[in-house]
Amino acid sequence: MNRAIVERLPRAEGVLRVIQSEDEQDKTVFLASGRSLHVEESLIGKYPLEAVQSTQMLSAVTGISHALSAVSALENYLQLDPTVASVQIRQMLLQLSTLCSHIYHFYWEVLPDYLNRDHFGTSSFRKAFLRFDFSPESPKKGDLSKEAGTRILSHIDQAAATLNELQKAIALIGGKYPVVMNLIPGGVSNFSIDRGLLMNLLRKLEQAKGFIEVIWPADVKSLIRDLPETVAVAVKKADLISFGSLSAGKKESLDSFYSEGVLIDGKLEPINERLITESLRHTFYLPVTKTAADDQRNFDFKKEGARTWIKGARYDGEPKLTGALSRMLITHIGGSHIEISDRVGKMIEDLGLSVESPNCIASRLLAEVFEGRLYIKSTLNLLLDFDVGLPLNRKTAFDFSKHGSGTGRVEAPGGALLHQVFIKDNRITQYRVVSSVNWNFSSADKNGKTGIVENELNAALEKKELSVEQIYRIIHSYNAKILDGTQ
Amino acid sequence: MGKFFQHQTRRDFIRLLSAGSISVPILMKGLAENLMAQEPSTRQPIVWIQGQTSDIHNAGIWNLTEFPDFLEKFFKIIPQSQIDGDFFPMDDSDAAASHILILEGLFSNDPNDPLNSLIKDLIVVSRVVILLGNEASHGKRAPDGFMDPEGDLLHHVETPFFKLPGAPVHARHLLGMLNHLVLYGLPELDAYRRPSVFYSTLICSRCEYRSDFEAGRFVRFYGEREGCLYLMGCKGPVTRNSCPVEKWNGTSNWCVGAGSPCTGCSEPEYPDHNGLGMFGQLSSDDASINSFFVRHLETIAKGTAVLTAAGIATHAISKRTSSPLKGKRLSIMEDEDE
Repeated sequence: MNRAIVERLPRAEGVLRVIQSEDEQDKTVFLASGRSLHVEESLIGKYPLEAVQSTQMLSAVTGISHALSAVSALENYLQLDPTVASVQIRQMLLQLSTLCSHIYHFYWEVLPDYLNRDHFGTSSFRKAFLRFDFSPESPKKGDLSKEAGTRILSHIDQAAATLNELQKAIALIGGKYPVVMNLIPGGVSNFSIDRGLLMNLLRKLEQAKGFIEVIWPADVKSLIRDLPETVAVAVKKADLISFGSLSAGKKESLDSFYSEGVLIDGKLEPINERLITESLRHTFYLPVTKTAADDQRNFDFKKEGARTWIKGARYDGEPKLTGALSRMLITHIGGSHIEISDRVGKMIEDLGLSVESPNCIASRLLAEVFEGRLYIKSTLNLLLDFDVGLPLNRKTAFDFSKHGSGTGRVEAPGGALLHQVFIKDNRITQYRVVSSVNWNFSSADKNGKTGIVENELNAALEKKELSVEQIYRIIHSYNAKILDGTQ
Repeated sequence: MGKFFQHQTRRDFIRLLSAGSISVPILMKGLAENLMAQEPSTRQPIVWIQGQTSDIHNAGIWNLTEFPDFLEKFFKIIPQSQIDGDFFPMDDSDAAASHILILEGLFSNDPNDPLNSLIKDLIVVSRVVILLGNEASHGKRAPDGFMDPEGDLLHHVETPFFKLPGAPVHARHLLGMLNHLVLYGLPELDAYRRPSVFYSTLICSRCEYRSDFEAGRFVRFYGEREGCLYLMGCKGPVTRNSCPVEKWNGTSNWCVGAGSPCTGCSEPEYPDHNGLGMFGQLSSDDASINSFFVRHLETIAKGTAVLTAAGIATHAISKRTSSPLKGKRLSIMEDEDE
């Protein structure tokens, strides 16, 4: 007998239900997603460039990463390197969109879980949450103190204004936000990136810088100081995966922050794409066979045990944690970037955690803050360093006629994102997306191994600490862009 | 009401808007004045229901700095959690029928889904229904298992409705339409039930590269030069929207401004465009191009396509072979033991 504890997770892209099995022998909690929009399938038969636009519909905050990953996959197929200037532009887009995602994540997804009526009083801040079905309730266990909550909440308008500036900056480069239009194989389609545009961007980022470097970090630290339970590690073992920074081209001054790699039992290994698989065990999808008819549906609403559309990403059969914390730790362990290594090392030490067992709400939120500081600094450097005389693309037509495939990998705000495209006769014959949601929010596979979030929920259940509020707090501390995982 | 609007009738207002490029500043000016001058006696209820969708449509809307103020002043958002069977009884008074229903995303067609029955009930008693974004606007193209709000529900009731399509929808369009509902009531609609205020002018008619289009000066591949993107598949000649004038994210930029062809994202045939796809080139007839150069090129291209097709057919007949995987989804997922 199953019972929905959460009918629909609030403040999440897409639909997520949390269900508890009330079987005496097997009391577990699992996740059930809303329907898939079948974006992968809808791309079959389409002109390959369409993948860059269509996959952005999967998430407002991860959309730009989808576009970057899709265009990398096409470049991999075409064997076409992007120009140095376009790599800089892409890096700016990725960094700015990640900043948007992280700020939105903290103030609009995580923070409301710790607020109550007392924090709002008669203030006008309630309107900042009008977009959600959110009505602050009476104080409950685990809420922020009145002082800390009110102080953080008083910055919400600045957070909104910062988001606005960042989004305008993205639009200046990419055409519009949240869907960018300028990504093409070999570069970007912009007619020009001139000094006027660069100065305009610079002004916008200068306006956002103070908030990103001072106010947001102080707010996250306030929350953690006020709520020591956010430092509790629910599941000790944490295997990690990171796809590393965008390919930095050949220009040495480009920031290359993150190492790529996968952490298996404490050992860092390079990524082998062939070992990335997707479990269909509790999904509505059917295994694909070569004898299936062309028009055969690849899912079944009545499949036994099916409850989710989120395919379970596995690396060599194992679930992995992905996200800002994961990429920082992998870089720390790999030792490729001293500043990141120092910061993450100090963060782990200050929180009283260990590198082997670092995954908690506080470390996940702090990792995003640290990344934000790095990214705003890096984006400003990229702007100042940008050479307006360099070519923005390869000035060539694209030949998608030959039979082949390509993959593109990007560290999206929520973590590792993979696109894989198969092309023949100028058409996509198959498309595959593995997003951070597939890693973190997956259900049990055929070996009974569950994803990171389900694991953490079940650990809380075992300790009899699983209230609806706690479910919200756990899930929101990961990037719950659920639709992104249903593809 | 703001000073400007005291001397304008609705007809005058629409006439001004239909003049094209001045439409948006006026609507925005109206909004600002409205915000400053009015103290509405009642706030109109809005029920905003999100189905299976990302925040792609509402992200831009909520980040407009004036939107929360505007919404709070003139409207009252009824949280979905506060709506139950008794909230809007079918036989209720005018007050119950005064709410605006916004549907965003896709909704299950399973009658046992609580959201499905809620929407069915709400649609009947709504003052107006706004279908926000392409998914809700063009539900007939939704995958199996999702409802088409227009075909399945709205065609069977008398509730007025209109669409705000786009990928994503333009934030100002919702803002403008809510403003319009406050000031004048229902907007004038085009044949696809889109508000004429925003969806009446061809992209090409206000494009900064219009003169290149007229003169037949086209970009043939990305990076060649700055100019008209018709040959790159731009759907500007058949797309009606206010993008070139209004632009995006506070008039920062727009698709063509970033060197990308318009993909026609607010047209009913998007993204397929009758087989052309987002980047397929329109025929010169569809695009109303008079340039001899383009028509000549097109004739050659058609001739080449016929010859190529004939060649492929001959090749296929002579080989009599086909790939066993052709047209099928490849097996790239983990094999399951079921």
